[in-house]
Amino acid sequence: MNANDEPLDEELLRRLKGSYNTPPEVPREEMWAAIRAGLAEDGVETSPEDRVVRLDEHRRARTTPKMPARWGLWVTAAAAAAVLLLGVGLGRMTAPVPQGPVAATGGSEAPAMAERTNPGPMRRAAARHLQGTETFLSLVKSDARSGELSPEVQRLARGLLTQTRLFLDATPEGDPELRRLMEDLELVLAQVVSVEAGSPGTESELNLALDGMDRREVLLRIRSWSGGMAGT
Amino acid sequence: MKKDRNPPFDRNEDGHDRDGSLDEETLIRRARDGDERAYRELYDAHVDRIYRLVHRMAGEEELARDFTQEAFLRAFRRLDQFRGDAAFSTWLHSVAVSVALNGLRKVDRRRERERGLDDVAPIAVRRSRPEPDLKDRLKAAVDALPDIYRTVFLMHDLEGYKHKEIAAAMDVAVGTSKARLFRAREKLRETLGEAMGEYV
Repeated sequence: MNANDEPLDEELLRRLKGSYNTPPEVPREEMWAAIRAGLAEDGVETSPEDRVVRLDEHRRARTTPKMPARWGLWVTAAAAAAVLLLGVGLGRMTAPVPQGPVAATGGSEAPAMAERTNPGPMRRAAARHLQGTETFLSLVKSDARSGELSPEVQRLARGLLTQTRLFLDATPEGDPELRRLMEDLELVLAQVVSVEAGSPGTESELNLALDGMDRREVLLRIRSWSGGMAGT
Repeated sequence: MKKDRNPPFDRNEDGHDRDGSLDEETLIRRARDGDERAYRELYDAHVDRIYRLVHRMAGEEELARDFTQEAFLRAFRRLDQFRGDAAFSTWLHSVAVSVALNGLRKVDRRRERERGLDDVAPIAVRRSRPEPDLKDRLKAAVDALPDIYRTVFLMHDLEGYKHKEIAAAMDVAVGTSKARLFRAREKLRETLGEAMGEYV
């Protein structure tokens, strides 16, 4: 065997391992944020809301022979907006709610009112999330009528449930209306996720979830909340 | 498709491992469908090893971060081209090594240009440099290796990759990987002749 087939001296290698371009702690989250942004720029739909829009579009295309051009444009614009809003919103939603003069002048609703009149990135992302969820819930209603739950709808429910919990964690205490809405939404989505697709009880389980949703007027409150945001 | 992680008996029918995570084949399929969690799981499974290697090659945190990000983005964008003939890890490493080598060539060219400008400074202002210590001499010796030898040396001797893995990552035969390591060690022994005596 030639000397160069043998490893370098053990001590030399040990020193090189410890000193030559030694890697620091991996900046995992920082790099992931950049990768995620890169995927979004490419138009990769990475949020559950985007996939709801895509599924809705697909189903409409299947059931409606000709989709009006304006609707198609709206769907595309909404998908693009979702990527932007969620990216910005989720990135900043841990930021503290501004306190100070507004909070000092009113009751517990004051911060929410201040946010409503000047919605921050978190509320805009929440509005987008609620709109996506509203569309999703109509897909679930459509599945309930057929007595089946498609695997894609159930997968979307899992994604939306995760997002809803994130928003719930990020919703300030001073915004009870949004908080209650997210809590009710979480309940409905959790019920949809727990439905055992393909089993004899699918239809009744789905209807149970939808009854609860109607009782709590979830869809109505989403529209009302989103309408309030749109009016600002 | 080869698996990097758990064998099939560790998985449920829905593709979940016993610990609740998904096997790599399922993750790749889901990532192709645009599932962000699948992208994240793939990233989490491989980022440490990729970043370590790329940092060894680049030597600077900022470059290592850029190359790692670029490697993952490129791999994710080309997931449809991943046929599964090799393990995902092997394929990802080949992307990362290629990104790092190309990136370093660009950086070298830019620095050469900058150094060219520095060379026109008056001789009078140049200061004599102190004799480098052994650590610096070791670093200089490894840095001076041609890229293809240095990469094999770093992967094999510092990071513990097997020749089969290196060959796949660099798209060469196993014999070529072995020959490059042989040459790298030979050059290091030549360059570090005296310095090695101080260690041994």
